[in-house]
Amino acid sequence: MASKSKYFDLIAKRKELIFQGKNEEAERLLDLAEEMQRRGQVTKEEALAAAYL
Amino acid sequence: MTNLSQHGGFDEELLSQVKDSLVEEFSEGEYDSFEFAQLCQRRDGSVYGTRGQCRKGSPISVKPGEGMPAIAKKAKERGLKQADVKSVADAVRAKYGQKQVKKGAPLESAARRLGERLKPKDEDQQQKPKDRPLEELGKRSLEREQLKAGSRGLAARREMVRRVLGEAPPTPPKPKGEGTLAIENKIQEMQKGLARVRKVKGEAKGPVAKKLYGSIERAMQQDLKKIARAGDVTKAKAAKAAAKLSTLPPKKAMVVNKKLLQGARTPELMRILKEEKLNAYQRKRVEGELRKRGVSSSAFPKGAGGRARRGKAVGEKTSFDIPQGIKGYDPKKDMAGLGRLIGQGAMGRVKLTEGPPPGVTKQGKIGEFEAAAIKKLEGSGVTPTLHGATVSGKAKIVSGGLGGHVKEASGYLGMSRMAGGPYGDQRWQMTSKEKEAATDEYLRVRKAIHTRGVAHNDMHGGNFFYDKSTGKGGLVDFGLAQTSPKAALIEALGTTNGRDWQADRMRVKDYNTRSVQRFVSNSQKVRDKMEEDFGVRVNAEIRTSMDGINRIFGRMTDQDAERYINELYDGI
Repeated sequence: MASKSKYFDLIAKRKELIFQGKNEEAERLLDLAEEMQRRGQVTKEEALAAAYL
Repeated sequence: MTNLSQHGGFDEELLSQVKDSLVEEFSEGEYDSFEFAQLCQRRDGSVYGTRGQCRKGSPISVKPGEGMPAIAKKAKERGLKQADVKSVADAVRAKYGQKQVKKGAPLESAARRLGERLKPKDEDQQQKPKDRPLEELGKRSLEREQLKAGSRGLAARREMVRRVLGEAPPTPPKPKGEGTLAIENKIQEMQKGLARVRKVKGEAKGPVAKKLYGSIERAMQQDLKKIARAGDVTKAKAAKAAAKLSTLPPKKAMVVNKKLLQGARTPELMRILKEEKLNAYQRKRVEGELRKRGVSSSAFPKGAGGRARRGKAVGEKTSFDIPQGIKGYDPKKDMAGLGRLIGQGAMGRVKLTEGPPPGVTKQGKIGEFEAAAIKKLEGSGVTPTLHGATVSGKAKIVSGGLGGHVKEASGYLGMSRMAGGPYGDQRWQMTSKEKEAATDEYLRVRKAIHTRGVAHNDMHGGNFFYDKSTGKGGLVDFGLAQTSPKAALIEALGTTNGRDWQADRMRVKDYNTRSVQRFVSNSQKVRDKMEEDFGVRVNAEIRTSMDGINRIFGRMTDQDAERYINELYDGI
């Protein structure tokens, strides 16, 4: 069972914002997500799951 | 302004002392090289030096050579008595013995200020602060207070300073423009509106309407109080406010108020449906309340009608088509079957499933064209294969924002696995050469989907899969995709012009590869051609709704858009 992932939730929330037409807010979340990746705070599995979501 | 240096009212020695004093004062600050050309006088009577012209709004302007009569005339025009001018001249002459003072005719305060400055320095230094003349202390205090302009209680402190100086209180400022209306008039106008509402309230039928008008009446009374407190309001604003209040509010307020609706008797609601002009949303609210009470829809009276609604209400359900996947495949069952859950959260789950067929299944939001886009791109080699999708319930327009460019619904979607991994996860460990190769591949993947009439709308590094060992790329997550060649053209053009901000994230423009150069060159040609052929200059962003896209492209067909996309990616 996969554990809860902040990165996964971030990407899911971002997508919901885009569906609502809130593109600017969504981009800010993506900035945050990319920063997490840059710092190595995201596992390969988390990145993979978030991509498919 | 009193231009002391030009009219020569004081002798040269006196004037030079004043100048020295001012230069000394300015030299203390940042004006080391300050060198004034003339002296000017402020409204409060104090003088200042300037290299240019004296500021506008100073009370008196004196030209060189003007004598006493001319100065006195000007002073009179500005409300100063000729006798005052003379007395100033006499006072200064008596104190300092300057015989030519009368030519200068400075205002009283200017003379006083000069007097302060002309005192011997040692005498001034010997004086303790408390022994200084009140007027000097007052002047300094005034200057300090002016620095604190904007702070609370300033008016009161200024008044105190004025009293110390023995100056007359300033005349109240004139009304700003012709549009100022007295508060009494505004209140009168508002009261007329209030009376009108009270009259209507008296005639209103039923308890719901009476309650409604009662609440309006209270709101109007509050507004009246606000206006009375607000002070000056322009005529236009007051008229607007009065018009707003004197016009009866829309019936919407009546039916949208939940408590009022619930408190109304059934016949009252039936009457509202029948007699009031309601729009579709208001009608829906009333009908909903009636249904709750067991009234059948067939019993609803036909309404008086209203304006047609625009678009669909937030949250209203509609539907979208899901293409057929593999026969007999059920993603919901696949999700429940064997496999490994790799991600889960409040909004969805992703599982690597064992199948058959093995792949990836997600549960969460499914985009309107997500499955259709994957299906359309089958065989392109840059996307997963669709195994199947189901949507639980119907799609809805999402509430909370302005509404996205596509609809969504909750459901399941199964697909094959893509080779490689998210580029966004790898790029931090890649060399420049590897990044260049990945950027070329990114362009090739964009070409593959755009030439097939699909806009992905979210091609950032997390969704672009890249396999470093083979150099092959691909795309996942088509939740925001649109299956339209025109949308694809917008996204394609956005590659290098910044309108696809996801391509900006990939820094396509930063890599000067042959493919990027070719694309930039093609892009300019296609833009020119589109303008020549259709007069269309596309500057739209990705995720533009289909309505917006059709407005942008006018009479351009999907076939034209496909042709332009092919030209755009020519040689890539």
